[in-house]
Amino acid sequence: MQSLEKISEKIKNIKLAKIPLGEAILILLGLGVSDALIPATTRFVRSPIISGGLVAFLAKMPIVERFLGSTFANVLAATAAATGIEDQIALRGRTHAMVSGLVGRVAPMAGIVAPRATANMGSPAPAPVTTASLGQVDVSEQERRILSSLKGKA
Amino acid sequence: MLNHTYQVSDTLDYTASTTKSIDIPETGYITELMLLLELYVTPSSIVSAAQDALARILDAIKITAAGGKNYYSVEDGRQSLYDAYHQYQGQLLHDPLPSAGGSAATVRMLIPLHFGLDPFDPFDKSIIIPAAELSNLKLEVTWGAASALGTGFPVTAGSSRIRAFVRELTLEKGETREVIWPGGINVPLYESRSIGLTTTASNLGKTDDVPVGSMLHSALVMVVDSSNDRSDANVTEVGTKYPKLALEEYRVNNMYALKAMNRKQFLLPGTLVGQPATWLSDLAGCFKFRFQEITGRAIGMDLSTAMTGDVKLGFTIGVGSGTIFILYKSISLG
Repeated sequence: MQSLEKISEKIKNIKLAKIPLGEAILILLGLGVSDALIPATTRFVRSPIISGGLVAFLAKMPIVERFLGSTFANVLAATAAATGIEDQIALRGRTHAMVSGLVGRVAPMAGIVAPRATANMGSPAPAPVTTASLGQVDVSEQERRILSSLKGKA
Repeated sequence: MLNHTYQVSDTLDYTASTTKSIDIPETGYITELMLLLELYVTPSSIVSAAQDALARILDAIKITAAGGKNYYSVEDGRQSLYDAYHQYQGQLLHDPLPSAGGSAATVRMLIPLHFGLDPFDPFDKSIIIPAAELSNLKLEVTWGAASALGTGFPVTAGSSRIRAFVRELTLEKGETREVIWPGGINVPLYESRSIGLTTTASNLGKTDDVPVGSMLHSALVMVVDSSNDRSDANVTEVGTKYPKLALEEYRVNNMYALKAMNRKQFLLPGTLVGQPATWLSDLAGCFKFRFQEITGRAIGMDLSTAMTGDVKLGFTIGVGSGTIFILYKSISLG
């Protein structure tokens, strides 16, 4: 059975101006796999954190790690553990809520969204354009909580 | 997680012009609270029923908890009735008052208070009152006088009351709240406003600052004339205003168009056998505005970082008398 190590190594080594883009891609792949596996496993073990731990343990089993390669096995183990912890205690959500609350106190006036400069590789960044909006771009914390509760954790 | 439905053992007994309250058991996470009004009425030989009589005898309804928590507050029973009327396409128990010289009878009306986004799921967990985590959770009603029903309808106090029915989610042994709501909970925040009309106003000149700090879902608007009856004449145009952005994302300058659009949007009944005559056509002076009309998102408008005055409801006033009642529903973090 061929290992995925060579592919994982190549992805891991992708960098852009010293920014580890490749590792970011591997993390996203790992999170995608975890998001698919953990809800299915939770139906049997009834606890997301145990489910995450189980997937992480399986990823690091020698026979599985030989197939995945040590790079992707580590990524999958870490992201499975993270997803299990998040689904159990919503650590990311709570941190988000706390930081949003702090940011909100120094945020720009409601209804006016701060302009964002965009840049293309190799081109100078265009001058930022000030646009007025109702500030409804991001998913609210309330929406995130509703979507989270609808994932069928019960 | 278990679905639990029960009747609160205490009742809110009728005493004219008095505020009564009952404790709500703190056993679960409440998705829906249904209020069944029962009035024992002995009609006189000459009677004249008021518009919305049964709802009109309720001067206020509140749901509160220790720590200053105020989940639900209306200052006129009609606000609760018509908010539920829009949620349930008008399909609510609502008995007519007995005829002149007829026998005494118990007339009933059901007002469901459904907090979540899906009124047809009784155990909708999107927005709940976390009773199991609260103390001193109370349902409070302020009764009006029997004259609110109209002329010739004395109420027998000993046989008249409100019964409360609760639908809640309860945790099974070993279960935690985080299993059902891993991201956290949302709670309802209903706030009532009344705007007295003393002069006419043009070009959406009469405004009300919408509540800020949370997610604003909807506003139930009810306009009454100087006789306290619902009216189409006093307000002729409705819109939303964003002063800092000089935007008016929503504006309708014909009350009849507004009501007709409202009826098709909420599938409100045109004719309904056995219901009060006022329900046979578009509701006079009453409509529900959902802020998703502006944002395109079912949950409403995110005003968590907004300041008071950033968003306003504006009204053009055609007759300088009466009152505009607004029931704002917000979704807050629990």
